[in-house]
Amino acid sequence: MDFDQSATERGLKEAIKDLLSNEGEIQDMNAGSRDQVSYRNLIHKWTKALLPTGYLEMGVRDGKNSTFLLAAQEELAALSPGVFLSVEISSRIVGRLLARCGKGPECSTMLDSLLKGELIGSAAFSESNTSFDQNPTETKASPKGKDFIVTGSKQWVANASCADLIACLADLDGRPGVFIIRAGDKGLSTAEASSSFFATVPFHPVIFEDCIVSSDRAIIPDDPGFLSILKLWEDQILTSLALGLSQRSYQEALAHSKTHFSGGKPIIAYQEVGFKLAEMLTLLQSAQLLAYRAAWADEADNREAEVLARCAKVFCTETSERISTEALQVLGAKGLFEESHSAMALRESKFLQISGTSSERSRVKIGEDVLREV
Amino acid sequence: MEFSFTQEQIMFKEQVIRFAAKEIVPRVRDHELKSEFDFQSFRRLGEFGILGLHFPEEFGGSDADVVTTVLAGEALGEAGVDGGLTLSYGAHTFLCADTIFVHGTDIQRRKYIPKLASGGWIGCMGLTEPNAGSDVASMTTRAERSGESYILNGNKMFITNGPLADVAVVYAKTGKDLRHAGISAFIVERGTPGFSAGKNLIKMGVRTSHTSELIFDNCRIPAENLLGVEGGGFLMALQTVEWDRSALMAPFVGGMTYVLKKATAYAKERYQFGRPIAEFQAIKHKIADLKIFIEAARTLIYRIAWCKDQGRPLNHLEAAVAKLFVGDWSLKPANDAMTIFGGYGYCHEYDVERTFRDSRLAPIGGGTSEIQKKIISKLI
Repeated sequence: MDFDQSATERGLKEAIKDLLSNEGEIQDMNAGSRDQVSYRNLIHKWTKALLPTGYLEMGVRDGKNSTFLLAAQEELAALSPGVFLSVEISSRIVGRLLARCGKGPECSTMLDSLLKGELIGSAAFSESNTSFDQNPTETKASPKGKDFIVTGSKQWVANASCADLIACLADLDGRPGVFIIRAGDKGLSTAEASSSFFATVPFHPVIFEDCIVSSDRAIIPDDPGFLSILKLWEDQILTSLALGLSQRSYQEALAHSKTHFSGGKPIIAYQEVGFKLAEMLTLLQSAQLLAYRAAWADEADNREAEVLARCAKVFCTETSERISTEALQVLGAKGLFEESHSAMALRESKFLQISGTSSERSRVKIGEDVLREV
Repeated sequence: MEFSFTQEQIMFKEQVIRFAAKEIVPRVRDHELKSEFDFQSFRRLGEFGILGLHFPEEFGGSDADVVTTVLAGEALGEAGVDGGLTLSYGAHTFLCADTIFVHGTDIQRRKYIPKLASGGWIGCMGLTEPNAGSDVASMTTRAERSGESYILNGNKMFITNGPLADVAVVYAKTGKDLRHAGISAFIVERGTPGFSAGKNLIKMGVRTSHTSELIFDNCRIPAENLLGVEGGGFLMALQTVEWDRSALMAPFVGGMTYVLKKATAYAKERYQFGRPIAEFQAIKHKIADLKIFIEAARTLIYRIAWCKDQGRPLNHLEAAVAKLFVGDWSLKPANDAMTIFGGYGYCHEYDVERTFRDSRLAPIGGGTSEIQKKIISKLI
């Protein structure tokens, strides 16, 4: 047992912080919506910057979470939630898919390029009428000679407009498969952005109209738990993002409470503010420890790894909302009328509770896990 | 970071669960119903080695580390031992015996620790007063030096094990006009003239643990019963609260695991509308919330235990965070567990109403949630 972060974990966090230490650049990263070209440039810039730290490759080839990875993710998520989400989808979802299930030289080449930051990946999993771990997707794939034809549409696809590769989840005769479609492939189109969550990240509907995918780029796993693994990867990313948002909201409120004076003293001196911050820190530390324990369990192949990951997803994402709303209260009008991290985090915490496995579905699954044990 | 236990720790926890389930749990309901302290179980805890687990072997202990000690406490709760007995054990071992062990002279250690570790004697700690709870420095109990003696006058309140204790660690003011720096700690034995305990207070929960007032009326004790140095009492009290906020919380969190298992088993057996209630989403959600609370809480408690094992002297922030979380965030899951049982949950024989009552102490005892918030807000 060791509750201290290791020297390597601390070193990695510092390296990420140093890379992104320019306040102007961070503001630039977190600025409002932008066009496809400038967004691509932004992601390429930061993947290139992150490359020497080894961040992009962590946990990709073994598909495992770890406390080491989480330490780095938490740091990046706190600095720029948008860049974090884009990079994670590209490397930790599409990269893991290629590494774990991809066969053939083309998958291997695509993976290498993703992990070098040369390509951007996007994961097209969600549909408006179905949750992919509950029901077969309505997007269909069918064999055509040695190739496959993919037809359907996906919703709320992050990175869609700037990605070089889109991993599309589709139903192949009742089995799930993932088909890698390249930007510019015939039949692929994106509609108008459907969301401005995380400021910089474009979320678009994506339409696949008889897209032809070669068998080299078709991932048809044998593992019956494949879809659960995809959900787990998504949930792990959302958990670390929640920690980053919580951390930043807490720090913002704490800093304000020490510098904002009322009645001749800093507002932290008032119990109503000091106690709020105490509750926020308590929740933050509880969430961090639970998430790190879940990450360790995954790495150690602990038998409770899955249920701990679900507990961490629910607790961290709900905690993020609570910490952010309390932070906004501490910030007062400043938090509402000036652009504050906490206001953004409050809104985006909701996204975290809905995205991946929703809080409600996660609770059902946790309940079922516990029921199986007894 | 790394969260594994050693094989020895895991096996020991399982041993404690088996021991408690066989020897203590069958006696719990009856004692709880009658609000009786279970002397036999308390002694069995001593014989099994739990009361003195972290003390050196030469004092009747097992030299266990703090993480193992905390796991043993968690195991008692997980087996179904009531919060009353585990509170008595906590007050006895950590608030009384540990203070004597850490701050006492070799003579004091040899005189008291073996008796306390075996369960032959019962210990308590007298800190809180009728008008001095969280504000310890405002205590009015005084100890005046008189030759080779101290004379104690004053009252202590809400003292766990008070009516039963053979020995008490008592905090009193020795320095005039001093607040924290004027507090000293003393060992007072039962039967000392001028020392008496009030009647057992009837409480909402933790009923098998007896709680009373301690009264000091010109109670003369030998000067050698001073623990450490004059004025050193506040630091001792601070160190004991770390135990209060880790080892004493562990059985409670273990108790939530016990309740989770019971509620889950019940939900599978109880049919409504033609199917087990476990199949309803609302029940699964409650079970999930219990699980989430337990996993978050136990990690916080292990952290303080680990910090203590590293020899880090005062871990106020970590301790306060754990205490605040366990205290304030346990009430809903404790309530949810009772709701799963419906009408049966309100009845004694299903144990969950006991846990519900016991849980209400968590945000009060060992420093209220408000005090934890005060500590945290000063440290950040």
